[in-house]
Amino acid sequence: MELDEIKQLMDLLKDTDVTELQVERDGAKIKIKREKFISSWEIPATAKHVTAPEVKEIKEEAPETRLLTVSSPIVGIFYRSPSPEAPSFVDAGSTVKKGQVLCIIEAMKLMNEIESDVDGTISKILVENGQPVEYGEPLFLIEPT
Amino acid sequence: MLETEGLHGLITGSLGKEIILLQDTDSTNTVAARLADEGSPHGTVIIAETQRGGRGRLGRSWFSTKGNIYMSIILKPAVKTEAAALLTLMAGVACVRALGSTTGLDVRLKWPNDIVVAGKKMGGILTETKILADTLLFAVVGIGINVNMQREEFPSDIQSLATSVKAETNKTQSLPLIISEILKETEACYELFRENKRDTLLQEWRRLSSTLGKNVKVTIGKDIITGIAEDIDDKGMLLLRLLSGELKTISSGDVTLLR
Repeated sequence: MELDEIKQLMDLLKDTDVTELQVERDGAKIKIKREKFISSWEIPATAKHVTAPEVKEIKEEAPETRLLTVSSPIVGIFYRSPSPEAPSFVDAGSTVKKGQVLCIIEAMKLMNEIESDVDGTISKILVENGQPVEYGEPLFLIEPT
Repeated sequence: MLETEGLHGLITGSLGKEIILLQDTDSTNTVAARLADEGSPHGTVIIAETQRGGRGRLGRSWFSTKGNIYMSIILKPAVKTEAAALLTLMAGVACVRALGSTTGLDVRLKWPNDIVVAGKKMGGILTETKILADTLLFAVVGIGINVNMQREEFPSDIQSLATSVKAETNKTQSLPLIISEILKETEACYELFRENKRDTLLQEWRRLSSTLGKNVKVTIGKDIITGIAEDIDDKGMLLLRLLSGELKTISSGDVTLLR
């Protein structure tokens, strides 16, 4: 198929409502797609346009899906250290072992030590020290090792 | 002062079948938590003559001298995590009943479980649990009660806030007697907790409370809210009626009674 022929096809479509035309001849395949009155060679453009965000999305989602969320098992107050003067149990970036205490949730003078159920690295701490938390509220994101 | 023999003779139930006596420790709760982790059974009791690192809520230091009660009880109930908070009310009820019957004092509970006599704090309970996902692995109920401490022994800044059995009764009390009574009452109240007779337990807490019906100030971190302590809910949380008429559920905070 010659370039002239393609041009002709595009011109032909210009004044119609046809938005997509596919021609197959001598093993060559051509697809013309029009959007919003603009005709163009969209095959390479579309391919790029469509796949780009997909790749990006995968890139963004991939780490998220590997992260584990530690949620609060009770209603109470979230504390990052055993006492106000003491250092935090963990910080963002801390390496944790399964069974290691991550925080305390206090309710009615019941100090609940919340343990990590995996080995990994603290990716994010989602609640500020001293804040009330609800049942099931996410507290930490952990990247398992 | 704390003779093992004397105490063992007084133990009748399953709590305290195994008692570990320490002369001095940082915290009976820390020892108890370690032992519970290592497999010590339900009902194991740890008692110390003195305690250096006794903790109140959030690590506030608890004044520890000889002649007082510093003990922790290991409990391993098969309950959902969310029911664990009731253990702390349960322990409060048990201690107040035990102190009431052994000393004759009008001992009351300030929400959630401060032990008070005439508005002054005589003791406190700090429960610690270990939780893995939704499972309660164990609970350690730490009990601190000022028994034979003289009024003058309290630091001057807390003399108007704290008291002891001796300061109120002018009598030296038998620690083994009070301890054994606490264990007996804890056992009885634990049955109420376990057998889903929790309404009875909550009712008993209400009966012994000094908080309900009172105008109170609740300090939650940096926030202070005031209102009337109307009731507790089925999880033991405080229901506070605000001036606006709104009923607020409080899961944590320090309650001060207002006049």
